[in-house]
Amino acid sequence: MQKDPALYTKKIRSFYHKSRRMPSFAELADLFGFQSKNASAKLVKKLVETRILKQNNRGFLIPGPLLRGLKLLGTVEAGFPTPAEEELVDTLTLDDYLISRPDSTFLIKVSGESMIDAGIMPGDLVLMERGREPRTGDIVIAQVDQGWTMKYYEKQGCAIRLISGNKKYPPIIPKEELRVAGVVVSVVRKYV
Amino acid sequence: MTSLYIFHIDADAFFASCEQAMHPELEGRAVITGAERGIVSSASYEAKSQGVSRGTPLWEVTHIIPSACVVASDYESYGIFSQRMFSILRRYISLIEEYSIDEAFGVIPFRTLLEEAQLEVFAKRIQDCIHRELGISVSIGIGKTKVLAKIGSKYKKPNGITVVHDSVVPYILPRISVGDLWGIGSATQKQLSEYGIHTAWDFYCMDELAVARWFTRPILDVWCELHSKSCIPMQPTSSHVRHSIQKVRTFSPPSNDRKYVFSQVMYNLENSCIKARRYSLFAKRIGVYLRTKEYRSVWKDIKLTHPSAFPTQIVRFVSSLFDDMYDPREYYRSTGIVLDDLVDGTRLQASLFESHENRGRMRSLFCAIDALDRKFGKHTVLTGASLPVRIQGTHRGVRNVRSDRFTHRLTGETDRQHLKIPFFFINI
Repeated sequence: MQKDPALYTKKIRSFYHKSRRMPSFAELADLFGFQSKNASAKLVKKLVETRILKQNNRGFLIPGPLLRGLKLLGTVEAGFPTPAEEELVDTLTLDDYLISRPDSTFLIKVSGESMIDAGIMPGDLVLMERGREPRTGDIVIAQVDQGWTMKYYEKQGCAIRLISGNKKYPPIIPKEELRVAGVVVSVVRKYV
Repeated sequence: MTSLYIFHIDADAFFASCEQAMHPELEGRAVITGAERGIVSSASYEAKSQGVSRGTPLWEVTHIIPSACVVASDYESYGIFSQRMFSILRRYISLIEEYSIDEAFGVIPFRTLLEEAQLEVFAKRIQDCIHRELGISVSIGIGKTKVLAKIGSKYKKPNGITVVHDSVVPYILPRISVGDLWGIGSATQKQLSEYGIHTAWDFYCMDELAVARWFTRPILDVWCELHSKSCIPMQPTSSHVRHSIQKVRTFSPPSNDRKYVFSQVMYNLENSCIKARRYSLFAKRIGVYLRTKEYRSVWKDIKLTHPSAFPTQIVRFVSSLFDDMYDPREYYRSTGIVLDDLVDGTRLQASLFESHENRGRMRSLFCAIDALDRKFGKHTVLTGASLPVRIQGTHRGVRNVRSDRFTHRLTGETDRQHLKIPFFFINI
């Protein structure tokens, strides 16, 4: 299927990012659409040869020296450089950091001031995760009685209140309908 | 017992659904995309139910549904929705073939017959997940073969799930015209109707030997697939190799202005060369295609003296093909270019008749042009021959409409480069 070793590396790396451990042979087969674990074993052999993966004495996979993304500089103590790679520190891109589920994330440009005390200003971009189940304290994008709004979500028993991050606006208690489109996961503001 | 099931996942009114997912105020309304082309390119189910379909001229739409919302296509966002849809599918099904922008095949091995009952539940889970995370609906067909799965996804739409079991084949097939089967074109349909074959069921009941004797192999494959014998293999997309690059554009109104039609050809040539250079590919053959107002097509191609991805080199071949084909009495509606027999441009040897120095200069010239295009947008530098396209535009008489994604520019975004995340357009 995928011939490019870089693609394999990328997928294994992102698995490692997400689950904080290396995949099993069965999970490798899942990851690359192999029909059997035998195919995974063949791939592992190749990747071990190219030092992308290592195997411990029980055959489990551990990251090889060439699997990592960018290396962090080690801290220097008393003249002995400690290579950060020994710590297995990995790097995240800003994308990974701001977005947890890339398939369901949408951009919204903010124009109002209803979340100004939460630090969300007019002109900011918020990233909304569509279809995520809201919990008390989350900032949600919701449709209430015909209008769209961005508010803190608060649920006590069956009663739901939407509280704005601006003292000027009173809390909203939905009268007819409430539809939560998604949960705000991050805010982006770019200056230059 | 291990038996394979093929899923066919087909998005419902894909472009219009994407618009509704990005603009919540459009939900439940008749939405049409294609404002920039003057004809409907996709219609939401609310619009389809009132008789609007793909290809209907927009002036007719405003007669049929005065309240319809007509928007400009936003292919960039549709492309992202498409990739996300495939990515969600891969969470459930490991082997996925991306068949087109809005449909995919998937293969599932089911180990026991008992689990057959769960096929629908499984499909429902996929459907719900796509709807929850992307806000669009899909229809899913399930069968032992690709042809059967495709029948299923078409059978109940929108948001349908149809399992085409062997036992339901006699009920479903008589309701389907043989021309609606995947792989049966209009020519074959005509030929079949001469034998008295009109529905898919008629075709199903034909004798295998008769089909084999009278028709070509691909038609026999369709027949076999109807009988649950899998013949059309899956083509996983990742091992995709590019053999040719095509660029086709329709313009409106149709034109008999030779210079303008030629400039459309040149514009396609420049576009396809840009794409070829992006993948370091050089073409050994070039094809030109013209289509008249009456939908008659002419096509010619020629071998280049040496592989190239530079419009200034290829133009003389294109222009001689064009001179052969162009008929001043005709009005043309679209033109196209095909770069064929592509080879890796990084490993080319200089040919006998092309000096090394010349090609070096050509390369550095187009390196500079590509760099300018990256900085200031595509077609910043173009050949004089394609200038009429730039001056007159491609769709005259239609207002220059742009999608919201195009007009909502963020700090740091350029004409060509946008964040790869779709917008949710609401006022908050």
